[in-house]
Amino acid sequence: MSTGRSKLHDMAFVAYRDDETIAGDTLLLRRVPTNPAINVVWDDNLRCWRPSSASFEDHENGSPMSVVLSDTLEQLGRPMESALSGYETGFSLAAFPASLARANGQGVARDPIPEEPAHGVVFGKKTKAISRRLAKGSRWIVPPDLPDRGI
Amino acid sequence: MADTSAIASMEDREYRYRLPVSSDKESTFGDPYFPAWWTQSLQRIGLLLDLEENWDSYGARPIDRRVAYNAVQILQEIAPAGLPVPAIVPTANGRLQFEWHAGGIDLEFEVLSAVRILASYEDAEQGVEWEKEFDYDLKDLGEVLRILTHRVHGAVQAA
Repeated sequence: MSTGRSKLHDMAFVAYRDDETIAGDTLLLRRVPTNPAINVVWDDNLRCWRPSSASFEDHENGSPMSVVLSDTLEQLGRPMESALSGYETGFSLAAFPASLARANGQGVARDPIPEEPAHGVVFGKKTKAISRRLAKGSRWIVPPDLPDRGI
Repeated sequence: MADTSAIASMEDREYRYRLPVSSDKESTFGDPYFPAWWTQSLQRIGLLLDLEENWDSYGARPIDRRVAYNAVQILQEIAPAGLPVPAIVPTANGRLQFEWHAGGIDLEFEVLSAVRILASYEDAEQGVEWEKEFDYDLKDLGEVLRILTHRVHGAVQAA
């Protein structure tokens, strides 16, 4: 079972450096469980369904948050939707730019793994406010199938 | 021998819905006396307790039942009358997070244990933002829930 992280991640104290070859407009893709609506919330301030901040946290073992890098997908000739490969049922796909991560004190690094050569990580301390900014700054690449308004 | 697995499953489900009810709200589940946030929160948490390991595809843990119990107990303790129904989401480490995003306010809190809560509050209207961990003293958290409730109901009345 793939959990989208490399074995390297499971080792403690892995040091990452922000990769300047990842441009600010590169999109960082995250799978969000939305069917059923597990990690999606109705934001009445923004008048839209968006991912919860809980979808933008580090792994439960402390290793940094996994993403799929849109620039690598493009080089590989793959559409962004392919980041959902193997998870088409039950998941939507959200994306935010690398510049947003950096503006919130995060670093972005490439971390290819056998099952996903476009795999990367967003590292740095994630307060709830930072996770929420990433969530609010995301847009849907594959949107969830939910009613127009919150319940 | 009779198959008791179905009964065990029913008892299991019943346990979930027997989450804490204070003495002043002693009644059967589903009674109209219960506020909307209460009944909908219990239903939601009941569903989230069914999540299996790796429910987020990134290796998340299933929800810890004790955490769910604590979460409902804490919410019941601090919820003002008329509290808008929260969004309740699981976190990767098997906990629960309550969220409200309305009236210009973003309020989120995660129940870490029976006596520890991590909360994040942002009020765009007042320019207030904080993030802090609470233990036994939940006064400030209760206060922002009252502000949120007042703000949301005020907006509804004005509309």
